[in-house]
Amino acid sequence: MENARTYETIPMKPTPYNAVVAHSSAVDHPLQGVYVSVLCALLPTLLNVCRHICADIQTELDYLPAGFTFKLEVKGTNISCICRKSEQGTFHHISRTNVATDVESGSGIKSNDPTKVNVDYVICFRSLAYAFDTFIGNMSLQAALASRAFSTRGPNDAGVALTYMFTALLEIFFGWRRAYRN
Amino acid sequence: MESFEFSCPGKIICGKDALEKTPDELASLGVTHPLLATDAGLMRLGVPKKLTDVLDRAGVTYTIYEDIPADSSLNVVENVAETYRDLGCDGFLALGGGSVIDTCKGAAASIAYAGADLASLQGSEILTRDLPPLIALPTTAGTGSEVTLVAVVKDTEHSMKLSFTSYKLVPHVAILDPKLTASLPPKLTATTGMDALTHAIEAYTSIQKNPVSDAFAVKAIELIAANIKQACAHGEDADARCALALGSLLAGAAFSNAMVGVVHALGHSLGGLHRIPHGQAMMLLLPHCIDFNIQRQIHTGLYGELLPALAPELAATLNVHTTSQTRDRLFLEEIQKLNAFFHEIYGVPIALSSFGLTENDLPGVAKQARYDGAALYNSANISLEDAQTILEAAL
Repeated sequence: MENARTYETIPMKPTPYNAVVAHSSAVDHPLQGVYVSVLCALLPTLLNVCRHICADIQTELDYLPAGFTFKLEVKGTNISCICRKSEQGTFHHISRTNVATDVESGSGIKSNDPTKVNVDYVICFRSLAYAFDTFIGNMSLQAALASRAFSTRGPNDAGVALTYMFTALLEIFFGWRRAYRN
Repeated sequence: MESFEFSCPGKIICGKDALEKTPDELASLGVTHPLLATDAGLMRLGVPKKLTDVLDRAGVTYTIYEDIPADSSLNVVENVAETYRDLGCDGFLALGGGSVIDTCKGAAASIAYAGADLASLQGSEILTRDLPPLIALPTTAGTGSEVTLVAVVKDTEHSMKLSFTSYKLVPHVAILDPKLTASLPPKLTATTGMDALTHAIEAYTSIQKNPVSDAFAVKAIELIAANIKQACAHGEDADARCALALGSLLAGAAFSNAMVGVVHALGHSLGGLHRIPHGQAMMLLLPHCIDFNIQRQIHTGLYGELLPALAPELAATLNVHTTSQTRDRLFLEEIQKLNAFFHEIYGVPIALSSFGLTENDLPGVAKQARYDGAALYNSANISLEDAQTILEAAL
């Protein structure tokens, strides 16, 4: 959180070398939370639809096994979404109440409760501001990775596949933005 | 300026007789019974005796674990951790190459997270608990593991290399004494030195590069380039050995904070699937990855910026009209010359076919490389076809 506040109070100018980051000086605008929440709610739908128009998304979907479950969350908020890949190759939401709590998400350890879902991979944005900037195209996902805007837990190869997949998805909507045009 | 993070929390002790300070460092960390981890090869060469003599004179009680293999695995890590616990040790002395140091990092993590499956701790910044004291004494120059936040351990069951990333994994102290690398044979000096050079180059071109890591990378390249041939030809030259070791450490600090790229993505896969030693893989892949990037106009100009560090005399002959593309090409040529030199003089293999690989092996390596975390830090995505192209060139 301290990093997020420091980051927000320093006005950042776009540079040609890396993706642009332009912050407002306001701290955690409530609309950011709404926007990110809505995007999280739409995430599996967006993936399931866009895979038909973007081969890169389908490629990464095919790499991930059926039953693969990832969790995307935002530190400092209660925003999160948990998505699981079905046998049919689409993602759908998993309710938090259905997630195993006797093991840590992303740990790779199987729960003792067969009725609960194991989360295979966790992506945790360090702040709402980072998540918002990434999801609105202010900052490319690559730039978010480079600036350590999020932490991850889980198998490396799955994380890489998710990165490729989300990058392709974000480029569909924000490929016109400077962050994606450098 | 882009936002960034940089951390190099470990203490660095470098120079002639640096080993003599080991007992003081143990005491300052509150360690009274360290586990001295090393490998059988070093034991045969008598390298650990240089340290144990110092410990004996200081009256330090220690236990030696000498069976760490060149390519460590989760099984070895757990074995070391078990030995540590059973003998009531309270700190680690990791005397060896990257495998020994990474094994101790993994064992330290295992001890701090007693009961946890080590493989489950994969990922970035998962480890939040303090680890037992760890002093790293590298005998190669090298992986830079003595200052990095990364530990790479092999999962033999799945033929994959597991990466653990956390600031908690950085050893508390790194001791560089030229005595420790004096007996390193020329071939190993060359391959480990080129590994360090690759770290520095990839850190400089990574998407996570920053001004601090750049400074470390440039100095690393200067030291390595100026000393690697001398260290190979005259292993007893303490100044050359020390400079090379320091260059390796600086390269480690650079990539620890800026990450690496496609060379490591491919190298990890070659190591995981075909057991090609890491340094060797870095060396033979480096020029082909640079060539690929240059041809695709990836990292344009960045390689050329490193030319003064790699080849100062050549760089001095250039003028302001020399284009960045030309400088990039000249940099690549210097790297190719280095590889050719070590191949000709010391018989270092510089082709994948020397390790028995054929075209049939390449698709599997390419696929695993594409899904290696290091691939994300190349500024342009590496497709399966790209990885295949590079591997074919290196065959």
